[in-house]
Amino acid sequence: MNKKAATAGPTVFVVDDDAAVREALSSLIRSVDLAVETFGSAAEFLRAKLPESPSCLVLDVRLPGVSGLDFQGELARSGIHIPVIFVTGHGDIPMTVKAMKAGAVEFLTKPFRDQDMLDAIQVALERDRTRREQDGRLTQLKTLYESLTSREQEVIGHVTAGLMNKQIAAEMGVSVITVKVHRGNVMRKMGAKSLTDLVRMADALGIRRKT
Amino acid sequence: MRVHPDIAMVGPRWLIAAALVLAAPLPAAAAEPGVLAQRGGLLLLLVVALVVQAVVIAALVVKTRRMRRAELAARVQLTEMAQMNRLAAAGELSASISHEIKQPLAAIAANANAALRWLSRATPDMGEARAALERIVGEAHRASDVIGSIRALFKKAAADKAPVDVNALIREVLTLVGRDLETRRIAVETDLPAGLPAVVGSPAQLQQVFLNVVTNAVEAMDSVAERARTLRVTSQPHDTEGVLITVEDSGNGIDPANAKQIFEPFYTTKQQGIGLGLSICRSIVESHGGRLSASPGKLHGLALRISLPADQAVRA
Repeated sequence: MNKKAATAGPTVFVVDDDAAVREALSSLIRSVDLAVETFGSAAEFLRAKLPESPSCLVLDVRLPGVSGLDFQGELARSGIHIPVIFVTGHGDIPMTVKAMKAGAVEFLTKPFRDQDMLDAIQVALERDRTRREQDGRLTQLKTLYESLTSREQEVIGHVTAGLMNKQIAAEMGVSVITVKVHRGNVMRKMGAKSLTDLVRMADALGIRRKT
Repeated sequence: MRVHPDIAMVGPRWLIAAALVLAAPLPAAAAEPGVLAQRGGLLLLLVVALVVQAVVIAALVVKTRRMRRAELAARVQLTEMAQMNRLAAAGELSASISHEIKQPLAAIAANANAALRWLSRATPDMGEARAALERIVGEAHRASDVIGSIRALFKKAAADKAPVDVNALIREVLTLVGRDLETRRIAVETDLPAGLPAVVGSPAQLQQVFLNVVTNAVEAMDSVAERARTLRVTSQPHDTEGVLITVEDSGNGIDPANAKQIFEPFYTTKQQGIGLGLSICRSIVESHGGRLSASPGKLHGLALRISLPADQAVRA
């Protein structure tokens, strides 16, 4: 009973080998107007296409083939940053600690309280939303940076390293006027409001030269 | 103390050889003093040989005793391992049962919550609520089936029945707890007359019952310091065709007010008990057509009576 996720809204993914638990979770999640997709195994989930909208994963610890905890690690290694909420029939403390250390949002034991589950889902979706915003900003910055000419990129490196225009001119073998022009272009194209702003962008892009 | 058979063989051979040397008929020249001195040397040799033999015997005796002690320790360890295995198996079983039951319970709880949420919407969604409620019914049945299949599993185990020599089973159990009895300085009195009728049942389950009852009795005497710690196990023919086993301890007994409760599940007086022991024992005994009861014993403590009907056809 996979309900296709709306393209824009957040989606909750449920991976549990027990069909009854899947259906119950699906109904509970849909009752608060969230889109939900359910899977019987980790492999099935991996075959699914993840949406561009915020999403989170409700994951049973005991899965056929692979343990939920191992799967969490696998996802992280393959660069899938979906926030995970664990559910388990009998969670012991070491298991919980391991999951939380690996970045799980919540660790719920069956039978769980519906409010706990829905709260955890909200936290997880919020976390994913924030991460996506940050990722999106970085992608945007990268595009902007790539739109600069190689000269301008060079200037950014010098400017954010704290060099004065005169020094930059000497480094690049051009006139101070030319540096000023490049610098103005950089600020405009990157949409930087101030030098501090530009430095922050350079930090995010990892292009700031070490002084 | 048993002497090593090799020693028993070696000893006399030495003696015979020495005696032969000494008793050898003297040749004519033997009357000379030099020959006499030679014979004195032989005597000395014999004495030395006897001393060496004595030392060897002593060493072998010590070695045998050590080996026997190690053997006993190994056997005790095996018993302990068997008990630990049994505990681990019980733990595993309860973990898997709890998982099997928690799945439908989780589904029931989530479905019920979902149904409530569907109903309390601005426009209640009857279809969704109904579907969730129907799933609840299904899951309740599933939980009940899980319990049913566990019961069936135990019944099947009980179905593997064979004629059981009650006395032999009791002796086995007493051997199992032998070291425990020693370290706790508990004296054992048994009266297990031969010629009891054989009981038909599951040997493994009945052993479990005896082990449980004996262990309880042993542990009941932990706090006893002012009088002798005695465990008395007796068996006797019972009714017309049955066997009655009585396990008595000299512990502090139980409060008559709690006498009925001791067979209730999850009732325990032990710090680390879960209170299932006697309750399981009782159901095993009853599944064998017998009875398990407790009463104050003659030794100041508790007397547990296990009566089992005998198999009509078989006599031990």
